[in-house]
Amino acid sequence: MSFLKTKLPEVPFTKNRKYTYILSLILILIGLISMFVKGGLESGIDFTGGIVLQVHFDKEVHIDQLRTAVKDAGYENAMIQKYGTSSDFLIKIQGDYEKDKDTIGPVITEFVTYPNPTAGEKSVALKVRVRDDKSAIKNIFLRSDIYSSVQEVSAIDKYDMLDEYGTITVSVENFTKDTIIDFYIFATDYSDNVGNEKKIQIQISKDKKIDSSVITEWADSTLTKTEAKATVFSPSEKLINNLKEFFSENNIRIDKEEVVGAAMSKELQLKSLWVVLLGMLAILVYVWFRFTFRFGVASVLAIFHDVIITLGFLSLTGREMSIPIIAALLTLIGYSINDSIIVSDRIRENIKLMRKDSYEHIVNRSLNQVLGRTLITSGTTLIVLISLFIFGGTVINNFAFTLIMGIIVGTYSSDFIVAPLVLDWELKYPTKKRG
Amino acid sequence: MKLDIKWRVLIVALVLVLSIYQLYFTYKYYTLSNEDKVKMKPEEISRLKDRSIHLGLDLQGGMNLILEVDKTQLSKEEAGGAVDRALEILRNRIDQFGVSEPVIEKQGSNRINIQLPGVVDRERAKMLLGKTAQLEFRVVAENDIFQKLIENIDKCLDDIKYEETSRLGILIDYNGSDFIVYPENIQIIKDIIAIDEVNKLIPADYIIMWGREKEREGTTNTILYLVEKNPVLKGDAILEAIPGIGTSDNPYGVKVQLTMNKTAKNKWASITGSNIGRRIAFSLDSIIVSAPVVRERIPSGNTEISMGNGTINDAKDLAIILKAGALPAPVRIVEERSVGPSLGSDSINQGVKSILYGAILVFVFIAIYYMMSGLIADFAMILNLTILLATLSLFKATLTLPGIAGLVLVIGTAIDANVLIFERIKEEIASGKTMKTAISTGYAKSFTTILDANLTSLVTAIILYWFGTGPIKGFAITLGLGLIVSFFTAIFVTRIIFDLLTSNKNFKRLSI
Repeated sequence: MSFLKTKLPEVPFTKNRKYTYILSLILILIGLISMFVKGGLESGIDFTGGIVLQVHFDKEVHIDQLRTAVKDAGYENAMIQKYGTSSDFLIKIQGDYEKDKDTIGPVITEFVTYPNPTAGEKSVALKVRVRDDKSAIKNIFLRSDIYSSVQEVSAIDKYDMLDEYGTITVSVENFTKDTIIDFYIFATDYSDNVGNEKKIQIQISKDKKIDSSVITEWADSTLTKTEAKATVFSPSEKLINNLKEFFSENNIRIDKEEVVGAAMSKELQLKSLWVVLLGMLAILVYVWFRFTFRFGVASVLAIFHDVIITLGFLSLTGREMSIPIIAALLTLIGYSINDSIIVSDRIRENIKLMRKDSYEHIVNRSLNQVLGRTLITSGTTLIVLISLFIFGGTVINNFAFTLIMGIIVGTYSSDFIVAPLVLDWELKYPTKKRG
Repeated sequence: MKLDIKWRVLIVALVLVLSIYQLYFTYKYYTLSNEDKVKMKPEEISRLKDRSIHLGLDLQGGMNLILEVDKTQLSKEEAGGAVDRALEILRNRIDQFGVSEPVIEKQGSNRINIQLPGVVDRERAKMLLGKTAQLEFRVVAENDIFQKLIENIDKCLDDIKYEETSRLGILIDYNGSDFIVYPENIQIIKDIIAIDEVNKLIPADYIIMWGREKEREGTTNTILYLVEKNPVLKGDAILEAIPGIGTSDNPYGVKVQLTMNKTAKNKWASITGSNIGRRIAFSLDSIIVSAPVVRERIPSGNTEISMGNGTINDAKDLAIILKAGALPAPVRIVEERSVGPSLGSDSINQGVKSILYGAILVFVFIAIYYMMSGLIADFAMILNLTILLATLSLFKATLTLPGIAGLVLVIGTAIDANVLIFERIKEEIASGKTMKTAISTGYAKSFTTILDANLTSLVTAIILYWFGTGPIKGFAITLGLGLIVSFFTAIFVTRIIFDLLTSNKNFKRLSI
């Protein structure tokens, strides 16, 4: 029954390694060019921030109507697509939906005064810290009885940051013991919001010296006397309400709602990068520990190769990066290393058995010995993945696609890249143990 | 070293029986009809549910929110325990809301993760969670003070040559008791008040506050109030809040009946006593909900907030959040992932379908390719899935949509171990060994390879578990557990079957 039963196949894996190296380089290049032309990978809202709504209407709706409704809600750049039937739609608003909604001014969060240590100095420095959640700080202002007008506090770090420090030096000329001075500090941000004024009171407790533990009284002498602005709790609320109003004749059901804040998406980006790098590092250490450093390096190179080519395919087919894709990539790393380990294991075993043979022959023989296993395992895994790709539904579709691509490339790379790389390394710089 | 075969068979049988017993709860729970559920006691159902496989929010539907506590307006001391207090208050509100098995946990230094499984009225949930619920009572300024202020502001606007049509006297409709604003004028008035010169005119002890949008006499409008800046009482005065129907001006109007605590009771008595004939405004998160006229001194500490033509649910929700208390700081959603129940059940169907088709194809392929040995591997696979699902429900792990993908992948990987072993056995046979020795050397030689391969996959699963939230964690769990279980089924169990077969005296060879 089995065609691999009696005779071992003799596929010359390493003979044409120059060509397979070139093929891999071409595939990597195609991927990189595609990513470059498209300006990086297409990212979903997980990494850009945004809103995704999957809505279902009881009665059919024309996509243009929906477009108008979403536009009315203030989302010009929304992407709308049909989702199966003509009463199911996907609305995607990508990017920082909060940008135009900053209505809260910066807040004074901390301050210190530092008395000058040298006797005879007649000034005190006041340092404040200002924070705004959404827009960068523009200016910090201070007023006090000892000034005739509002003063601008010079900022220490002027980098258009959300956090800004500012200092001002106050002359001590007229101070006597127990003088109390009130300062009122407020700041503005680049969205032209004026923050609430905060009162800082400092007291001179010793003659011509300012106590470092000054009484620090916090009080809001609210500059704007209107009501405090409420924080927007749910970013998608406005859109959903608008849709309900626009289609008041139709019943709307929200099947899926995803919202990712701008700060959150940056965190997810960073975390994803870390997790992939950490995965590779763990593999390198493991393979190095169990096999040799060379196999470790070759395996990690192969992983890079697999991940970049897979990303290239994702870019070419216009699929979006998302958290599940990162999970698929990490799974792929685990998979690809499986193949490499099985090959390495066999090579290590055969080195002991076939002492007289050349290294190239050993590598080739080992690859052929595990070929049956490689094909069957990859094959069965591909079968289930293809089933997942076809029947698993839209959510799983991209995930399955990534793994299908990854497993094809991963299987290829462990036979045609990892082992030949180790072989070339061995031929150029033979290890001393053998021979 | 090797355990006696009887013992090994016993171990496998025991694991299998325990697994099937564990899975029985899952089967029973998910096949319960509504009639059965009515008949059963609630504790019985919840016990059954507890022992069956937990479905993730992406499969059963539900809401997953990550809230951030906005600490920017707090002082350092206040900010310290703000997140913990917010978490407690949110927990109280959710408990009152009546969702089964909610998850509320702190995440990092200023975030709170909330999971509400099942069918959730999302709008209502958001309303309950999102309100800071800062209740404040303020004395409303006499109308002539406000009128005077409006005149002054208009004069000031003349002076600074502000747009001629924008005068408060025109924009505000004063009907003798209320200062009414129509929706189209709200923004214009907000802009006027924000002007520095105008702002300075507002007396230092007063602030301007907006009322809720309401329908009055066929149009939607809002009332503008001038109120004393310092609240006379705050939300912490509330001991009990009960929703009800029937207010003084409307027999069908809904209201929330408030009972104050002891200290607030006395204060309230003196406040109402000294303000008879004036209005006191109740504001929730800086929006005035109602501003009734004080008719007499109220010594009982009872008062009511009239909600106009809201629904009884509005009153219920307001009562819930008033009783649970105000959040120490506003919260906002930084991440939300909600799935409706219909999409969830679609996902389950598609997931089950893809597992089924994939598994059948693999089983058939392996059986044809390895024949008798293939059937043994297939049996190990079925055992693997059974034990895996049982372990999931035993550890109360959550099955998510990516988790189903993980199950499918486990089928693919678990077969790998058997393929490795079988290929080895074939090699050994090809090199002239007898079936029996080929089997034992095949197993022995492939053991470390399988161990290495599974361990690296396990490492990635662990990293994923650490990295992921919700659905991805579910994937990592199924994949990780699946790898461990497959180690047992693919090596231990299949070996027993081989050993049983080869120990038979009539045994000659086994198709592989």
